[in-house]
This record gives sequence, C-alpha cells and structure tokens, in this order.
Amino acid sequence: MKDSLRQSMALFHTWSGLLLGWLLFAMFATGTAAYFQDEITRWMQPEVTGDAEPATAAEGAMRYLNSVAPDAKSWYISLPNSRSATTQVYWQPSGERPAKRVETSALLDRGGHAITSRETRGGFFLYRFHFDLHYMPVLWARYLVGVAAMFMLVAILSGVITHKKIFADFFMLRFGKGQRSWLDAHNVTAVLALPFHLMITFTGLVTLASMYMPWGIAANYAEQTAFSEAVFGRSAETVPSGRHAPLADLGPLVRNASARWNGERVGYISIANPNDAVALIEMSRAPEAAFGARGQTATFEGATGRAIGTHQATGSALATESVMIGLHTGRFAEWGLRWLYFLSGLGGTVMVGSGLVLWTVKRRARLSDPSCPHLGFRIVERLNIAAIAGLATGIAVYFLANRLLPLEMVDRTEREIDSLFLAWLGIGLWGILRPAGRAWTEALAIAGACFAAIPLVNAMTTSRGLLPSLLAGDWTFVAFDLVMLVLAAGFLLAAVRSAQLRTKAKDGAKPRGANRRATSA
Amino acid sequence: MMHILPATVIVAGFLALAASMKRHQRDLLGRLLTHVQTRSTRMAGWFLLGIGWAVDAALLGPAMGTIVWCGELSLGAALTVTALNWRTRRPSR
Repeated sequence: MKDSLRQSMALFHTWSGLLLGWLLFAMFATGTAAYFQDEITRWMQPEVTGDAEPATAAEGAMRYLNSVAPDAKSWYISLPNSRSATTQVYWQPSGERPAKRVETSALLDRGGHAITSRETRGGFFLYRFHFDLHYMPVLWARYLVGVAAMFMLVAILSGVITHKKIFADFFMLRFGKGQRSWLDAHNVTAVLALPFHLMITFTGLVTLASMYMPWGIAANYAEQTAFSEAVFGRSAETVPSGRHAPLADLGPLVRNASARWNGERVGYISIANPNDAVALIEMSRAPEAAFGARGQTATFEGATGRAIGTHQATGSALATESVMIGLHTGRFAEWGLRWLYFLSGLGGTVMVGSGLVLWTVKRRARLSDPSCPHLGFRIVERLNIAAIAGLATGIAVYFLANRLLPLEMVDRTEREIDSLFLAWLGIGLWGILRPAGRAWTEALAIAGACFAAIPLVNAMTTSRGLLPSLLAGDWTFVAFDLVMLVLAAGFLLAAVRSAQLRTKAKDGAKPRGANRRATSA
Repeated sequence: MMHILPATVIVAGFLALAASMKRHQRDLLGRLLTHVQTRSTRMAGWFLLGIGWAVDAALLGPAMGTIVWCGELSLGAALTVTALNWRTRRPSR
C-alpha cells in the first residue's frame, strides 16, 4: 500500500512537473527578479537619481495630469515607495472611444515631468510577466499561471512523498556523480527552502483566488462593484455633475492621510471625475508599510479636500488574504529579508530547472540507443534548452537592449520587450538546429557571455559603471552589476562543465547526463 | 547585519543535527558517536534552531521574527550543506 502510494505519487510528480515545468521555470525566474523590481527599474533608468517624497510626487503628478487630461473620467497615481523614485500615472479619457494604453499612461520624475528619454517598463515588466505573461490576453495568462501554480503545489506535496530520502539526505550534495548529483541538487534546493516553496505557491494561488473561484462573491453580491464597496470601501462609479470645480491640492491631503496611518506612506491615489464638483479622491496605504498588502484607505472630497472617512479592512478572511498577498510579494521586507526572498526564489528556480534536466538524465541511461533517442525525449531535451538557457539569455538581452537601443526610439518600451523574446526564440531555434549536447554548452555559454557583457555595456554607455558607482557608494548599481557577474560566472562554469562531460563521454567513459550544469542560477 | 547572530546560531544548530546523523559523523568528527551522544547532539541541534527563533522574535517581534527565521533557516541550511560537501568533496575526475 505504502509503496504503491509512493509509486503513483512518483508518476504524478514526474509528469505534472514536466508538463508545466517550463512555464514554472519562467514564473520562478521572473518572480525572483521581481523582488528587486524597483532596483531593476532604477538601473534601467540611469538618468533618474535620488529619492522622491510622496507628497511632492503627488503634486507633480497632479500638475502633469491637469495639463494632459484635465477632464478625464478618472486618474490613477502610483506614488514612489522608499525604494523607487518615479511616479506612474494612468488616466481614463472621458470620450467614448477606448484609447491605447500607451496614450493614457506616463512615467514621471519626482517633479512631475514625463520621462520621455529611454522609455522602459523596467523591472515592472518582469513582475507582470510573472503572472500576466506576454503576447496573450491577460485573462488566459492568469488561468494558465493558476493551473501551473496548482500543479506546483501538487508537485511539492507529491515530491515530499516521492523523494523519500529527502530528509535523510538533507545535507547531501554529491558532485560529479551524474544522475545522483542532479537528484541531490533537486532535493537540496527543494528541501532547504521548503517553507518558502510551500508559502510562495499557496499564497500565489491566493493572490488570484477570487478570479479563479468567483462563485463565493457571485453568490452573495449582485454586482462585483457592490462587493468592492462593501469590502474595500471602494465607492461605486459616480456620474460627473458637469459643474467644473478645480481639484484640491493633493500634497496636503497625502500628508493628512499619512498622519492617519501613523506616518506610513501613501502608496496609490485614485481620483474619480477630477476637476468636477463631485470629484472623489481615494488614497491607499503603501503596501510596504505592513504585512497586509491592502486594507487601509482614506477618502476625500475632490473639490474641497474635506476628509470623508477612512476605511480599514475588517474581517478575518480579508485580513488573511491581505497578509498572504503581502507575504507573497514581500513588499514589507527590508533589504536583508529581501535578499533572503531573492535567494529562496533562486533556489526555487534551480529546483525546477534541475527537475527538468533530471527527467532527461534519468531516461538517457535507459535509452536503447543513446545516440538516437525517441522523439518525445528529443522534444523534452530541446525544450529544456529553450526554457532554461533561453530565458536566461532573454533577460540578459532585455537589460542589454535597455542600454543599447537608441534613446529616442519610437515605441522603445515595446522594442526592449521584443528583444527579450527574440533572444529567447533565437536560443530555442539554436537548440533545435544543433546536436543537443553541443547546444547545451553553446546556449549556456551565450547566456553567460550576455550576462558578463551587461556591466561592460553599462560602463560604456552610462556614467554609472561599476567603478564610479562603487566610489559614489551607489549600492543599487554596484549590486546589480555584481549579480550580473555572478550569474555570468555560473552560466560559464556550467558551459565548461557540460563541455568536459561531453569529451569524457566521447572518450569511452560510460555516457551519462552530457548536459549537466555544475552550478546553476 | 541583524541576521548575523541568529544565522550563526542556526548554522551551529544544523551542524549539530548533521553530526547526529551517522553518515556525517566520520566526516565531521572523525569518529562515530555513541547512542547517548548522538541523541544529545540531536537535541542540541533542535534546541539551537529554537534559540534562533527566540532571538529573531525578541529582535523583530513574533510575526516578523518568524518570517525572517524561515529565511534564515533556508540560508543556514544552505551554508551548512555547502560547508559539509566542500570538505568532503572527493576528486571524482
């Protein structure tokens, strides 16, 4: 009974892990990067320096929005947090015709001037890709990501049963032993950060739970808006009165709201019917101020600036959800804990990657003719190259494109993102056209070379290279370049190891996992 | 910086737990422990992990302390694994 349970779990673990492993690898990698999304954005906007203060930023944003969209249906202002320096604004035009997203959003510096040079989505793109993917409808992407997360949760639980020696082998990491080493790497990265993996997968599902399972809300509220109003204190859409009334100054209101929350920062401002007599201003507490990602809002009358009230999320279900989302996104984390989050995420990425490679390594030994494997094996092998080395190269190229594309390029933001996927596709094709063993070595070497090029290109194209940043004590830029170098070293080492193993296999030694990576990132 | 003290305690805890496992005793201590020694080493290991939590909870409060402790557990275990396998890494090529 016990063994049959383990066998069925092993089967389940293998195939659920394989089917969604490629997507999970991308989710883990970009999600890990997203812990530093504000720092990545800063690196990708080297012209923007210094810190921004919410009240001043809000005033700047208001000046900008009054000049481009004074009679919009609504404004939405995402204020800088303690790690970022820019303000993101969106507006909904009053006309009937829905406008393109690029025409209704802007990134502002702390003075409220639009940043038009070196347009980029920065680290925010990696964050959104983590759950919205790209080139596909957001709704589909979120369902796909949800299915992957569910499989992940199942794979973790079945994995603990499958790898029965996971705790007995807790401290074991044997190098240079082919399949055994891959299994060790998979087990060690899984078990060491097991609390993180369980937490991140479960809370990840919770972040989109009301989308995946909308029936609880649907059964109790006639409209989604009624639910938002009751739970989040969000007011339903109001009809503009048509009487003009200039909006109250946002700066003092931001300070007022902040004072209500013991000095915690305001994170977001949404304004309905700006510059109308019935305008309504709603401020939300910055998510970095507490575990709970959401919950506290303060509402003001737009025309007079009179405080209407504050809303505090109540109810244990809402508090639980809020804290779970907070735990997942880690916005509250100071830098030490943020690095722990990042390292755990990296562990998760290696866990998924080594699991994928393990599938091929395990089966290669059992192939009747290793020089000519069957079609399924070849597909998995090539997809592994595309998913692991391809994505890594793509991210590196995304950073390189940020420095190398012309500053005033039309649709620069989109071209930067395209370059990520072109590089990814390129490595994918490379993996198909070349013999698999060679393709691994070459793709890993390309990924390593791209990461190694980033600090160099940064030093050549900006005045904020590694050395000047070090002298100026600019730790964000120093750390970014150093992480790129560490990743480069990891990938190059992996390329060297895979080349060594290939020669060894050729020299008549027992062929085994020609595509192993010694260290991975 | 404030991670250093609890992380050190946690690494010590994991080392003790490793030393309570037969397969690591020869590498770590050069000899096998008796049954009683093994048991007390294991208890010391768990105790140290608990102390790590207590330090974090005292410094940061029980909620934040627990989150940070989980992160430090992963890091501490990773450091221990690296240290153990670095020492015992045999030239296999």
